[in-house]
Amino acid sequence: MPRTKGRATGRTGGRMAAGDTLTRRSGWAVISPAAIIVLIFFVIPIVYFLRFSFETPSTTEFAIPTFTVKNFGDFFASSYYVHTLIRTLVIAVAATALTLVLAIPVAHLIVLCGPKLKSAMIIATVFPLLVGNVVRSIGWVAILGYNGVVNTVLLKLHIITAPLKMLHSPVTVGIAISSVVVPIMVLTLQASMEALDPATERAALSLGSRPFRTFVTVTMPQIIPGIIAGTSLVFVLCLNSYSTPLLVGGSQVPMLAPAIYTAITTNNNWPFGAAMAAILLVLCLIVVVLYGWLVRRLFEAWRKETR
Amino acid sequence: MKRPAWTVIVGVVVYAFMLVPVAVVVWMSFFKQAYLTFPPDGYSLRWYTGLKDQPALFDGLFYSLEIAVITTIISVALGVIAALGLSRARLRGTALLENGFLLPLVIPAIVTGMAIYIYLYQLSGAIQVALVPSTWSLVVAHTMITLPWTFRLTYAGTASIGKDVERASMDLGRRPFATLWRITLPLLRPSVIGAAIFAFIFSFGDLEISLFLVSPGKTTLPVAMVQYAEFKVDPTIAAMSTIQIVLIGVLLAVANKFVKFGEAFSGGTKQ
Repeated sequence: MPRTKGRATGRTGGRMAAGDTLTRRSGWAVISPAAIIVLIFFVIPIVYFLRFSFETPSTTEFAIPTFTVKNFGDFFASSYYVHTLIRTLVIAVAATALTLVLAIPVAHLIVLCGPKLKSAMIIATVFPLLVGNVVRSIGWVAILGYNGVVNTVLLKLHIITAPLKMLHSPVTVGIAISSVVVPIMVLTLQASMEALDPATERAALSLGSRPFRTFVTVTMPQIIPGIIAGTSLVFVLCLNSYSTPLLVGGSQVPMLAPAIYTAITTNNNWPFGAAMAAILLVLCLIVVVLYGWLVRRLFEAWRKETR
Repeated sequence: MKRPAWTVIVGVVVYAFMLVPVAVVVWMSFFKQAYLTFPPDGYSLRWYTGLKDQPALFDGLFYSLEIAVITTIISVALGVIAALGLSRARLRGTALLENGFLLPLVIPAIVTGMAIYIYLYQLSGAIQVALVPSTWSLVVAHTMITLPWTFRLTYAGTASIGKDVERASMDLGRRPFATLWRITLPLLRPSVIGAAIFAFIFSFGDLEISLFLVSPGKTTLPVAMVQYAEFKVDPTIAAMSTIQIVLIGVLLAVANKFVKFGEAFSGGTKQ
């Protein structure tokens, strides 16, 4: 469709059918304030921060403008930080896997419900998400604490004789993180299941396949893209979690995000903190790009086999 | 279609898994005793009235509200014009711009907060004006993280209202900007209200970005809460949390009239 130059408006009648409201120039005029602000206050700071992570730390100044890889060298030379990194990755992988297992049936249930129940369930999923990580982490401390809900119930039922120490353990941190991010996974999977043709499942069921088997062999393969999107999103959120490891894990279970903040506030070493944050950023980007590509490739091969 | 029994059972368990921590916090805020034991000795409202003796939390609530209101106004304005520009003009690099506005979603929040702090700090040195910590630096940072949401929601809105009425308006002689202002924007109202509520909630609840940008004497509520809870979890912090839960609950109920939540939260992820 030819575009009218300069003046896309006017009384051109039917010829405007595929035209746009704004011309290219007025479109730029509308969009530029937002684009410039994002550029100045987001894109440039991120680029500047990556460069900054190569500067030399100083006790008297913010940083000494140089180019050195010392910050990264120090990070990987320290067993404390390397263990923190590995622990963060392990907890994030475990929490993501748990989240996926929990979210699949819930997403499936939401899709099968009628409109009223469906919207109620989606609101019940969104609500804890919006309440925020801090409040829910506080809830987990109350549940898992020495005098917490779980210990009280177990003591009353005479299952245990002394309260268990559940806080400050990598396992409970992983469980709490998983609880915090599970809504994201549910919503992502639900959106991808919603797009499926229900006839495929119905066909399998009517041919005598059991519901569970139908789900695994018919529904699951079709929602692989949703699973990729959900797991990478949730994995990145787990890598970034700040308040849950801080409150549930404490100093015994250091994870990357709180460690970055601690490194900066206790030692006032901004370039080193920036290097740690850069490592976190690169990890997140690797997950989003590489993992998606890898799973999609595996999935392609598998789909060709089953065809 | 029939709902398989196993999904119903798992569903109940998972909803408990998501919602029980929130419920426990609300319950705890009414405990009579100051320390944590279940079940409580009795119930009391004194932790709510006692909040005014907790300046970090009490002032934090109002500081967070102030920042969230300013952020919402700026973020919605920017999100709306970005969405209108991108949907109503065919620009070169549309995909790049779209991704640019959604970019803050894929950058870890703690990285964003830190990057903005370092940048503004260095800029302060260069121009000899202290930019951080300040309310405005917080507003700027919150605007960056809420913009993807306001943009995404209004962008979805512009797609769903279609261009026919705008074309009609312009065929009748209205100028493009007048058309956007008088025709498109009023039609977009539900999306804009939804976007405003989301921007408010995300600004109000932000922890990771604010950490770097608050000053010791003046912190936002989530920062004050995490600092308090790191020290102890008691009915006072539960009462503050409950106020936040109620606020979010009310906003969610209002937003429910304007936003499709499933699409809002999962629509922007790559499928």
